Amino acid sequence: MKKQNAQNALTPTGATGALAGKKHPLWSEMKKNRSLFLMLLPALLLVLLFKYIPLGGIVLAFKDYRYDLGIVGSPWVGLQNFKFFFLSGTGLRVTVNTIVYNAANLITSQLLSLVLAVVLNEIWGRRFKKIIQSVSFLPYFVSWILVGAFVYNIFNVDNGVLNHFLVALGHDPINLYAMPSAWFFIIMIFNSWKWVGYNSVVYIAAITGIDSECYEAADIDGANVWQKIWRITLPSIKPTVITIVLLNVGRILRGDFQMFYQIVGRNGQLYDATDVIDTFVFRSLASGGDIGMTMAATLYQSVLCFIIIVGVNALVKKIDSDYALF
Amino acid sequence: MKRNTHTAISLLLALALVVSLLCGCAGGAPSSVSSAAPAGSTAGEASSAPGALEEATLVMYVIGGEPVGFPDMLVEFNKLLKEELNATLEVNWLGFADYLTQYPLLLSSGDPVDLIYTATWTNYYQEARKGAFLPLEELGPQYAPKTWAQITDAAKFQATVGEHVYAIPSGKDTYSAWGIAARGDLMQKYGVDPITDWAGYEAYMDAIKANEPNMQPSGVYADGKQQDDVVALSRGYYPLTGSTGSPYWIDPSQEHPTVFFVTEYPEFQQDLAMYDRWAEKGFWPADALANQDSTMQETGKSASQIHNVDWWRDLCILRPEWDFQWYEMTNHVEIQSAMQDGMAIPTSAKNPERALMLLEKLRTDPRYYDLFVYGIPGVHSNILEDGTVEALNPDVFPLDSCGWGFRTNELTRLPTGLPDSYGKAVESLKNSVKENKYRSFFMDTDSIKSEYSAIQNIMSQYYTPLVLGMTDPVAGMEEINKQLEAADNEKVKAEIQRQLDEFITKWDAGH
Repeated sequence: MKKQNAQNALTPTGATGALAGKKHPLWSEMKKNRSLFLMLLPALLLVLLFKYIPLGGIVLAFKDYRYDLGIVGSPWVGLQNFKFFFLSGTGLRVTVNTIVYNAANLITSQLLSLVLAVVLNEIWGRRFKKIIQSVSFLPYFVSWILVGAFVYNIFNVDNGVLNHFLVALGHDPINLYAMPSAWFFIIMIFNSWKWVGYNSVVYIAAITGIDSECYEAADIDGANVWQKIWRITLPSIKPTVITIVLLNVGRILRGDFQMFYQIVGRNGQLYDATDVIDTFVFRSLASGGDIGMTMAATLYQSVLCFIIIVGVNALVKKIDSDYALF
Repeated sequence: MKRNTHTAISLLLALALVVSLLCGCAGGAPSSVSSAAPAGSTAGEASSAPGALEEATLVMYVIGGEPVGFPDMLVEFNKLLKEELNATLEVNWLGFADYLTQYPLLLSSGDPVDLIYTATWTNYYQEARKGAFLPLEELGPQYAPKTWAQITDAAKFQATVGEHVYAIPSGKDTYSAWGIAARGDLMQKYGVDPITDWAGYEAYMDAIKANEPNMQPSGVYADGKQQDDVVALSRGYYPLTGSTGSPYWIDPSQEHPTVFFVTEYPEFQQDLAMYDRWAEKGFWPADALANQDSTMQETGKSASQIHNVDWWRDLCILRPEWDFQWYEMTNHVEIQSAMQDGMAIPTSAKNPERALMLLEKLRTDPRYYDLFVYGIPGVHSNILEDGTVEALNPDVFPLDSCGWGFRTNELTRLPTGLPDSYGKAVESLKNSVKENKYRSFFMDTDSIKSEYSAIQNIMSQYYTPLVLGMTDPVAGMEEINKQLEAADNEKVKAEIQRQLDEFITKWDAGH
């Protein structure tokens, strides 16, 4: 009885077709599954309230916002609000930086997570496995503010761990804060360090879901570890990998603000190499509090995000339509 | 049967979720609806006849972190307020970490706010221009007559935006004195003469560098890099933002000053060579911009800091054993713009009249001011016979944590335990004050905001590393000039010059 009920609930559209002839299909659908729709209501309301209604605020990107005139009454200013972003070529530089950093971070951290998950799956000792998993997960709980303090204590010229080490080995100390190109790698390393354990959880779950009979069959056929990974594990979790990559590509223009801001701070020497859209916009607008300009920058980011995610999805669809998100 | 119970339970659960969601939303509605209930005749023997006043709830916003003991004080304060003005005050705090974003958000949300702290550094002029505050020329004299009379003409001029006065500037003079706070004990130990000029400062830092290997001679760090500003100030120039970090400066001694970018003053190359030499000598580390430690001087990690007289006062109280000395370096002390602090009535105010009456009490009645700013007598602080105030529990209730907007020269008290030299220094500052009309000039960057924001970016990205000797002086200057051209520096300069000319005409007509 219970099981049947659950099945019924999971396929709400199953039997409604028969009733459709008499009444309006939507109405009868709603009536039949009213409890399900009622359960859906809070989520729908939330999405409507926090995702759709605020979209109206986009008009502010084209207005000179005044408190006493409100959103509707404020005067239009055309593309004026976008100007600060593109003046003197900074907009292009930070956009390129954002995409390069996020693409590199996406690839390194996801690749490492995948490797970690596969390796953990092959490890026999249960205890050892747990320890590795916990240790790799821990950095996720460390806030970027603390990481910023670590970074300064490792790399600063006078008292940094790195320079003490170099001096002890008889080398000259180096000032990484004057070497912008090094920060691409420093940021990438810290990003992976922080996210590897967390990201690997999804892959571990996907690997656990693989039918163990496949591995048993492979064992009987005499496959070695590498063959099993290459022929069974990786193909089985391919859809998971693609979904995760697609979801993360959508965030590619939203640099992890906390990470960049806490690691780099207000150090002008590194801006050329480390400025991403979010940090640049924050710095430019934090002191002015200009709502129109902030909205313009956000709109620019969102439109680019939209283009990228639709583009990547189309690419995936072209290669293998089963894996596309939509 | 069983199925029915299931449905009923799931229905109930869903309903509960929806209800809780809706409740959650409703909770966000304006909580401070002023109760329109007629007050009747409340017990009021006080002077201002509260019987005539309807009961009101006032909402006030200040900037800072709320002290633990603040709610206790507010209970006492509200007893007084209820009796005399028939009002209840609610104080909300915008934290230092996010006031820059919260402040405009609060004003744009339309939530009723009756009284709010405002200042140049919370973008008073920009917000007023956007219609955030009520004009006060009529309300002010009517509901806060004594306060209105306290505001000097210059202060009124400084609080004027367009046609109207939108704020009541604080009545306490603050001085634009910048100087060097140095360790008196170390100066004595290594036989360094009192500092009178930049060469003297260099000699002091040389002595520290030679004798104290674990101490940073200067106080330069990520947020403490005002030395180039103070050097320019000591040469007699004036920053048009009125504070440090200004991209544009003038020479106030000229009959009709010309606006210039900070690197364009005649002696700049000479000063740049000095910064470069200081960096070379290791007065600050090559990665000083990555250092976020603002407490270096009080913890003994740095031997000096270029800062104002308040900074030095705090050091004296924190570390009396190090005998901190302070040497004024700008050679022309000025009273800062009155809009350094002030209070305004937002357009969304429900009770602007009552808010002004409260402000009048806070600015002219010591009972109100002492309680609000120094806390409950005997619990949070004691007011001594000499008029100074002694904090009894600074962790629970620090002195003057939120009263900057309505301070006056008359009611403000000095903390107990300051060295005699502090009083002398302040006295000599007061005596050497010079008038500078350009303190009343406000640079309006609204019409050039894109270019100005690009210029500010140049300041942090190229100018700061240059004056800290982190980039090569020649190549660094070339880069800055190239960037300035791309950001349309000439256009910005022309616009500011136009505003300055307009200001001079207006000022000369009025004085």
